[in-house]
Amino acid sequence: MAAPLIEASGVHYSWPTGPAVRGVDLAVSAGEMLAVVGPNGAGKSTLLRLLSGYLKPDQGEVRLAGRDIRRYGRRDVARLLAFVPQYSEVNLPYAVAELATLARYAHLGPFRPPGPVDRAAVARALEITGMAAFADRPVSQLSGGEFQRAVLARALAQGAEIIYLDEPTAHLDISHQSRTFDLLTRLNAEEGLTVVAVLHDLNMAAAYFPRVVLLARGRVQNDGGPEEVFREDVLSEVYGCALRTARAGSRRFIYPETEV
Amino acid sequence: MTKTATTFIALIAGLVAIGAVAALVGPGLGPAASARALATFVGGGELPAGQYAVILVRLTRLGAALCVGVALATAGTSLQALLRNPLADPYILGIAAGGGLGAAVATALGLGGGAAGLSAVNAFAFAGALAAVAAGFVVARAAGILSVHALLLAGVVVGAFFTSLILLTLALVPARDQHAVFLWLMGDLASPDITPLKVGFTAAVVAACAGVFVVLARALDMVALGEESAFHMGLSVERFKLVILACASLATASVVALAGPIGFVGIVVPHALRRVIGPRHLPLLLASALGGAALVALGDTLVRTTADYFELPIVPVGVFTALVGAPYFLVILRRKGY
Repeated sequence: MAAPLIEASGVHYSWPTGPAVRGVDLAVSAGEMLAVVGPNGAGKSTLLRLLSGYLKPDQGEVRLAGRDIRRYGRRDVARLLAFVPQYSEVNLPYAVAELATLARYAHLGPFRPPGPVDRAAVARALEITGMAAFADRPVSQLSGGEFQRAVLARALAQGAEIIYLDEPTAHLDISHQSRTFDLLTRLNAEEGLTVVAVLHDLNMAAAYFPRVVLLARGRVQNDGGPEEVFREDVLSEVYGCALRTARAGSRRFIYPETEV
Repeated sequence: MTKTATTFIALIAGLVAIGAVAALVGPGLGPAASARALATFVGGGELPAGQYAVILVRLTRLGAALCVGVALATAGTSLQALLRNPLADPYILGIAAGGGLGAAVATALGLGGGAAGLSAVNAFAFAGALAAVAAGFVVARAAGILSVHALLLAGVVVGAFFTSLILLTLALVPARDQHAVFLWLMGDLASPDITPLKVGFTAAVVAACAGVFVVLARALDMVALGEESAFHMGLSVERFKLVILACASLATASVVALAGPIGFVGIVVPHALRRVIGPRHLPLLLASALGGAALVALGDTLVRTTADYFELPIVPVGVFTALVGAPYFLVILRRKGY
């Protein structure tokens, strides 16, 4: 059997304020679509940054395609892996297409001008995220949701086989949320894009992701399909509040038990 | 024709015009005679000693102005991207105060003059400017990671500390030396201390640093999107920050050592040009180099020729750029065009 595309073994990481990730083992195969969920402070974003090489584990190792991620060059990682961060700020008025073209750095390096392959990758990323009409619009003139999609377009233009997303739909209305996850599901099914997303919205995780990892206090509490992971008792304990699940058709929903 | 092309043509034409005026106008030699003398000078021919001296002084001063303008405008552009702060200018890291302290100390110790055309004031100012950056750098770097946020705060505090040391030095030196230090602190290109050799040395440093900025223009675009985003797009962010900071510090320190801290060029020029040609750093850096050179040469020529014509005491060019630059920047700010 081939080595997993992404593999964390015994990964620990502490911020100055205390430990955030405490001994995580995780293997993700090529073509998987994985949601990482858990309460605030469970270590979700920290884990994603460890898996991307942005943070270096205090203990343990992260491997990408079987090799320690620290032994890759920066551009080599970026050709394999794109990242949509939780907070992006662009305070200079780059046009949306310029933003996406910068993501071709992994292929072009500092000097080579963008060629036909790069222009095609950028055009396609703008097309599938619905941003083609905004190509020449300065990002300073975009709404919050449009900006979020521009950042997604930039990550897709990078042409990597893995995409990490940290709360990709935090600023999107429900229609753009579902369009974003529909797009990621399609790219996963048709092109084998490996998707790892940190999500707060358990219902979106249940609806779109075949595999869910539940983190609690820096450890993997549960790992499997949404049916296994999203159990009332487990969720209520991890989130520290009474949570209920319900079904509508084949879909599972999670909601808090209200006090009134 | 695009806005960018028009801007470049205007900048180049403006710079040539200002350069011509700077070379041809001034006491000692009328414009027509200057033009003939300049042609002979450039052609490598023999000039009468008096004419040779006049032309050499004018060209040296023009060269110094161009160095200052290019260094401050390109370093300002780069630091604004790196620090993601539209208010960043080359002096934000404490370089001006550090350079000022070096110059004040050299003057206080009576180390004016010097051998081989390189005087103690310049050397001390250069060392002081780099010491200020180094202090901020030590504070802001921990565990192999440089926090630009901490660097900004440290720069402000280091600047304030060095400024108080300048005042202390001034309190201790005789009145005659105080005036020399004050003139230096205002940023001045009139000093006879600015020799062709020093200008040549400064030009080499500035050209090398500006060249690095231009070569790294695409990476500057990326880091302007945030360090983490730039990292994920494949940039070795920590190494890149060190290179940019080193070049910005070197270029700025070298022109501060030459002519004192000439203000507002590094902030006004990139802002004004970004409004016209957009945020991309390759065209922006090239335009800023031209615009910075043109602004300082224009300012210096104006203060020099008006002083000659009206027989007034000379106003240091640093006072001129600040008097023009600060109100212009406020207008930009008011229009929210930064």
